[in-house]
Amino acid sequence: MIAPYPSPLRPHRRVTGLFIGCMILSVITLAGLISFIWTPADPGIMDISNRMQPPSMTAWLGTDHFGRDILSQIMAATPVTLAVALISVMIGIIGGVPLGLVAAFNHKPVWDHVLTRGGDVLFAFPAVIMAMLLTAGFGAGISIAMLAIGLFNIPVFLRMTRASAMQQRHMTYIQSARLAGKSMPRIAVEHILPNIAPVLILQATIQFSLAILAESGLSYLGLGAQPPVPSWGRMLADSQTMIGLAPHMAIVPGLTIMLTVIGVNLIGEGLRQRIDPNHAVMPAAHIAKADFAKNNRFKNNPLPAALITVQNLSVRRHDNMLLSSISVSIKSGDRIGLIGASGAGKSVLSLAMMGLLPPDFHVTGQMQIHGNDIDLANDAAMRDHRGKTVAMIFQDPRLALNPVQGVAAQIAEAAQLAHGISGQKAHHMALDSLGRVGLTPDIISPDSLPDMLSGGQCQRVMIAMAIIGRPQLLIADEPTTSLDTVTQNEILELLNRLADEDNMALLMISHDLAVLAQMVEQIYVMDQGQIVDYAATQPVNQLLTHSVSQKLLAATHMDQHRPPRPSGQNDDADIILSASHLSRTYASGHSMLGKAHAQKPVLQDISLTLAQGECLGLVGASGAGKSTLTRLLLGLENPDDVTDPAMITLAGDTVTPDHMPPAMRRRIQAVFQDPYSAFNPRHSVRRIIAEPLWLMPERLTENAITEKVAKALQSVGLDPDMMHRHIHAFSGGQRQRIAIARALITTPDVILFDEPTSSLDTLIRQQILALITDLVAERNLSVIFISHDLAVIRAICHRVMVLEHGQCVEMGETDAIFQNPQHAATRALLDAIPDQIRTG
Amino acid sequence: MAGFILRRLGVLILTLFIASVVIFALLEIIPGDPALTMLGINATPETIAALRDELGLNAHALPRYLAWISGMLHGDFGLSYTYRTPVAELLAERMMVTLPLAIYALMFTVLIALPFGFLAGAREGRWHDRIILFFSQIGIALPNFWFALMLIMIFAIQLGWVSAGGFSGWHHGWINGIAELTLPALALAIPQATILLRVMRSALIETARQDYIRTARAKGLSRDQALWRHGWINALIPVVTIMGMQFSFLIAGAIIIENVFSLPGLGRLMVQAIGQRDIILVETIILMMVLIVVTVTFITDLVYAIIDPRLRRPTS
Repeated sequence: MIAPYPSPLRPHRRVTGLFIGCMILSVITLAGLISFIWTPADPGIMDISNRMQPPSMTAWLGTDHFGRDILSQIMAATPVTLAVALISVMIGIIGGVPLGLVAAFNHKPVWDHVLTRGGDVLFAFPAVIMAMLLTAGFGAGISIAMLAIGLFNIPVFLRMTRASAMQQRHMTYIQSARLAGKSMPRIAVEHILPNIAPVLILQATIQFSLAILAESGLSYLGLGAQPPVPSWGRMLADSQTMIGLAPHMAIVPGLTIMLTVIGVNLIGEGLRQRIDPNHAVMPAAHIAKADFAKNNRFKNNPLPAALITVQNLSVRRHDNMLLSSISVSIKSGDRIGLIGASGAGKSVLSLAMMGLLPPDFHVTGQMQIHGNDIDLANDAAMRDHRGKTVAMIFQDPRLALNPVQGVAAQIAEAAQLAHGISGQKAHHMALDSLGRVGLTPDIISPDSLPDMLSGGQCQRVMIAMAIIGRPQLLIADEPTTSLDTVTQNEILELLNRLADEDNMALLMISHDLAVLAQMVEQIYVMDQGQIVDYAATQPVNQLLTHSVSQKLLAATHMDQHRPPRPSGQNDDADIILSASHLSRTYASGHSMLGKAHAQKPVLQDISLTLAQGECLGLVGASGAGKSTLTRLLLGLENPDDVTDPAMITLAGDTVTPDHMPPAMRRRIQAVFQDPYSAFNPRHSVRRIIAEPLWLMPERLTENAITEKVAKALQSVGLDPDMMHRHIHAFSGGQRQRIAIARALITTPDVILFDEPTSSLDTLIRQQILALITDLVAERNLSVIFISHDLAVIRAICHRVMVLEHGQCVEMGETDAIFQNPQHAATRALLDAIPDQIRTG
Repeated sequence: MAGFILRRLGVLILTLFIASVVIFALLEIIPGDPALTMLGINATPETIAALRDELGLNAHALPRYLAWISGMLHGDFGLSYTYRTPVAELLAERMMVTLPLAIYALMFTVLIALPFGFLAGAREGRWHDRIILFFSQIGIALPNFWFALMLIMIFAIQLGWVSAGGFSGWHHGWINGIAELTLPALALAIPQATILLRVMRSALIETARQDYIRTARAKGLSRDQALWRHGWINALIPVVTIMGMQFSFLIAGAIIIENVFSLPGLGRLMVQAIGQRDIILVETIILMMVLIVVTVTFITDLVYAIIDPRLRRPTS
């Protein structure tokens, strides 16, 4: 994957804005502070003989209609304005942030509704209107103005806090913190607040400058500071009648307000560019400047006339060499695979061939289509070929479609562009194309929006769009990586068939050699921006010799990991975890007061047992209920109350989700799928791993904690010195090791692994699986391993349970299920395993 | 869709109800005797008693509140204490200044913000973007009433193109009316437009990063074409949210701007009513303003549903 478009602003420019803002605000604050002890003249003294004097040496900014010195008045008014702005923002924060947290985290939805509605009501009174209302009731005054602005700030902070807290709420690290036995209020303060603080600080700067503007407006209307307290707004009100005679009376205070607000805004923007993840510099794949010629045996090969030829293609972004001197040739009808670990440069190469790299990627080299040179620097040159000669589909099909346009319309647009035909014709073509990918109108309506379709259907739509221009080459960039294995298989078969029918060349990109080997006739292996290996005849996998290829090949063999079966498995005394009659229904909508009005069962009457030292696999396609079952078993969620009493026991004790005692909580831990959201991004590795130690009966000393963390890191194959580093410095595979270390630290009996390897590439996946099986054998752990991938399950599990639509459809010994699957769902999952693994 | 509208309508009515209770409670219950507030501390006990009688203050709060609300539902807004005319007539007349002013200002806001925001976003980091950002930085810091004063200084006093304020009414023809509202509308619109411009810009930049823009380019569209056909409609979703909020700021801003330009609108009436302690008038004007604000929020939700077809389908 490619990092998003970077902000073109260079770092030193950001600092400048922040710096100027700080300077402006410091000068103004300083002037205000000085005014307490000294001003050029007494701001209140009137001198009618010198009234409305323009700026001069005696009165630097002139005098007003009573002869008062304007500079002195402005200085004296500064503390008032800044204090009003500051206090009104404080009112907003003190009132809004706790309410926002309650709204986001209280488990009774009615509180959320009441608080957000209350916020809406308050929000219907803009500061000026609120000030009028309060003034009418209590009389005018600066504290009334302050209160009015402050009250308006409350719903602003409430909404902001609620929205950002809701985002954090779904992060895996919140679940992990709950597994460490922390209560929701505690998690809100300890984990959520520090993570949303940057957003709140940013909002505070915005509200601060709005408060300055609002205060001056209220003072202008006579609803703010009352005489003799000076104020910028009232100075402007006074100036209005004199505007023809003494324009400086209006200009000077106005400029002061503007300057102050600009200062605050510059600070806010400077802060945002430092905080906002979209502006942060993404850690680009670190690729050293490579020696181009070395190790590149394909350089300058004479290439035959072909559909597309790429020669010496290099891509650089800032100082990172992303591709070094790549040469590839594709003839019509070719089936080419491009393989490599993440960060090898596969996506960069395919996007470069499409001319779709972001503007700050610097491309050099030659490209020819049908023997004609393509100017890589000119977007228009490649644009004529996009969709017509070369088409492309992407990794995440749900994000690749316009969310607010019907799918047929999106396909029709591609038809119009490729063939220059009318809208009516294009629509018919789009329907035909949808039919070709198996999405006939009886399956999906052509007007469906992408969010109504499954991931697999979205990818079919993308394919229908790609083939409509009859391209000679289709580039598929990890087209199935985000799909489950059954869907993956269907998409690959579809691509195969369409390529045959249209005599279309395929360039398939994957990190998974097993997926590629069954599809393609030639394979290029990429590593660190270079092509390091190539094989051109079947079976391709046996012809690859480079060490990188060997590693990728090794990653496809998956049957070495199963830990020894515990003895005496059928003895009831050995059952460590048992669950019976688990059902779970989710409300699919809420009425205004939070009453659920539609029910959707995701789990129906599941029972299971887990013996000491046993590894049980839970398998099923996406949406089968695997993750829900995990949450129930972990006691993070309650099962439904139905007629058969649901019951979970852990080593003989009953699990009660809301009040799980620490002594019990520490016996069952989990490792989740996404290693990137699994940890509080602000914490060090040591703090992350040590968090569950809270569950231990005795309080540990700092030294003892360090020792335990070091041991845990060692046991997962990491260097104990890493504990003081921040989590963002680690790769996906390392993070998953850290997650395992964290799960181990309380020496639990049971660990649930919820798709722990699904977001890792094949090489890393192997290593993590090996680690898990070693640990299981070494510590006699009992494991529930959840996956949609039967190959992984077979590699490490003794028994398997197959879930479909929330029901258990098959359960038994792993080998028995593989040799003789009973249920259709199981067979579909089995078919999805690439041949090489099934037989090997 | 119907369910969606009904739900939003329910929220609107609920918000109005709570707002009316808040207003009523603040003005008629908490600060003591409204009759005393209205007459001032020098009033004799007899006049206070007479006014209490006239206002029906001797009744309990609940029946008074119900009478106020049911009166308004029947179009009877009561009698203004100072103007001695029905509040409804006063409001209708003044509304004909404030609403056109706010809508006119919103029009300017949108006409400035959307094209320039689109241009700045589509040319992120280039010179167009930098110039637009520079001016928006200034515009965002402009106090609208000060900007109004500057406009008066330049266009009325220095150049003499327009009068410095006042509004002669719609009966002199709508062209004349619009001409007289142009400076006030601009003064209101420019600071809001620069805010909306920035929202449009960053929304477009965010949209340009989405995978579906890359898909559109893979079809053969140029970057600008892709942004135009697939980008701006998606970028409009956050823009509409802010626009809905801005209309309430425009209404609130109109209170100040009407005073700068001496326009006979709701805002000016309210400032006068507060000065004259005409509680009934104040209450009703504030409720009217809240009504406008929540109605606009409601309309915003409907516009959402037009832009984003995902909201139109019935929830299943």
